Amino acid sequence: MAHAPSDDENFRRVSDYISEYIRENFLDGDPKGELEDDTPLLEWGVLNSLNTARLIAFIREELDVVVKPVEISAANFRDVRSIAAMVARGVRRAA
Amino acid sequence: MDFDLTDKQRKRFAGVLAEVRDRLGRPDPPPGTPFTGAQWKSAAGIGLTGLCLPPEYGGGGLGALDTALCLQAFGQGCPDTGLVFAVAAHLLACAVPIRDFASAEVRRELLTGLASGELVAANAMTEDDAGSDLSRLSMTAGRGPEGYVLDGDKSFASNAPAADVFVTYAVTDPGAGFLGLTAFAVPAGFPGVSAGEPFDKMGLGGCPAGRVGFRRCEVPTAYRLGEEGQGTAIFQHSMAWERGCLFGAYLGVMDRQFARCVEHARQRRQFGHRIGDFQAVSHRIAAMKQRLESARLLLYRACWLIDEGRDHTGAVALSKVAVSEAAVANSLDAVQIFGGSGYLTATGIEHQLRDAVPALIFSGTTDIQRELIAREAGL
Repeated sequence: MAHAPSDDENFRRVSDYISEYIRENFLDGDPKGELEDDTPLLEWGVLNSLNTARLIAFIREELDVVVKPVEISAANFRDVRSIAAMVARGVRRAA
Repeated sequence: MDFDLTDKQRKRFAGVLAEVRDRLGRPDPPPGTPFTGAQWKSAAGIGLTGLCLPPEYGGGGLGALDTALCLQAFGQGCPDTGLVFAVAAHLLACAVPIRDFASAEVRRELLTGLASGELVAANAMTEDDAGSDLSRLSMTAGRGPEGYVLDGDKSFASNAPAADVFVTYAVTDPGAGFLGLTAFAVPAGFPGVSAGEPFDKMGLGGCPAGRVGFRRCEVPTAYRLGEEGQGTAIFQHSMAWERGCLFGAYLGVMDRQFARCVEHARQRRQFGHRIGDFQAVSHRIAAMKQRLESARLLLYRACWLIDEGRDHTGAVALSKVAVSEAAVANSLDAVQIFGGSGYLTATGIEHQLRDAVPALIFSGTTDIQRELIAREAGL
């Protein structure tokens, strides 16, 4: 029976989508499968000033969530989990 | 779509150009030597040090396009492009972020002096190992009794040897990469701040540049610009103004250069003809005009987008690349048109080439601007 996706399911889906984008675009496909939800993206330099703007454009175009300038912070971009949480908040805001 | 300047813009441009020609139109001191206090005061007297600062602090209250137009007049009327660059960098890379992000207390302390030109400001971002890649910055801002303690070295800061105030950037969250940077306005008199000797450079000699060291330099929290971690965003904001408006000065330089080339091609005779009768020369001049006018349109549009509060990153990058590459190409063509005399320093043509080359590098290299343009195209 069809049911509306729960917040948990939404979060999982967004998080997988973002992980996939980061793997494909910033980690050469991540052949060893090293990217985790809590991999420190900023600390390890996976995200920098150039590609973070690409990620934000991806979030805007593919997930329909506008990341506001004040949201571009270390707390929101520390790892995949933080990014997904920020996007989920954006989805709830739009709903 | 309206491509005309308004009457007010025309009058302002003509007024600034006339004053610049009158007060700064002679090469005195000769281009290549750091600006004098008298030159800086003259520029300030015309209002150039505060064009886009709020009127309540003595500034001109202009937006980005009008600021660029005034800098164009400055570039056209003043043969010392290094001085023009020094004033524009002071205003755009330093006073603009102080205007938009400083605490009320620091705005009160600094903006009036920055607008009047009493204070000279320098932007200190670049480090030995951090040019385009801001995540490699190593200067730190740790917690101190009154706020922060800055420690580190900046390897290239325009205006540094003459500066009264530094706008600088340091790491406050080492685990946060480019989002762990924080911006500060630091008066040069704070203990622990020391600026090095002016570098010998290829061009823009009127603008002294040097290293800056910060050693256990205590900076009260009031001198922080914006919030912790906003350093990159603040820097990008100041760079949008600099990449947009500062390059207006190069349009002015190119206008002056173009007029000289046309005049020379009409007067100089070889083989019984004006050299402008030869297509090799006339088409070179046509190509110069095409580069200049297309760069101008991109620059005006980029500044207009800033003023409209619209997305401008890609447009500003296009403008920056177009103006700087036009300046280099046109300057090389000008040397060729003037031939042997263009090669001589006294003619005042060759130094335009040396002043143009740094435009490919400062405010974000051509390489990085193309990266921004490609990214915006979806690559």
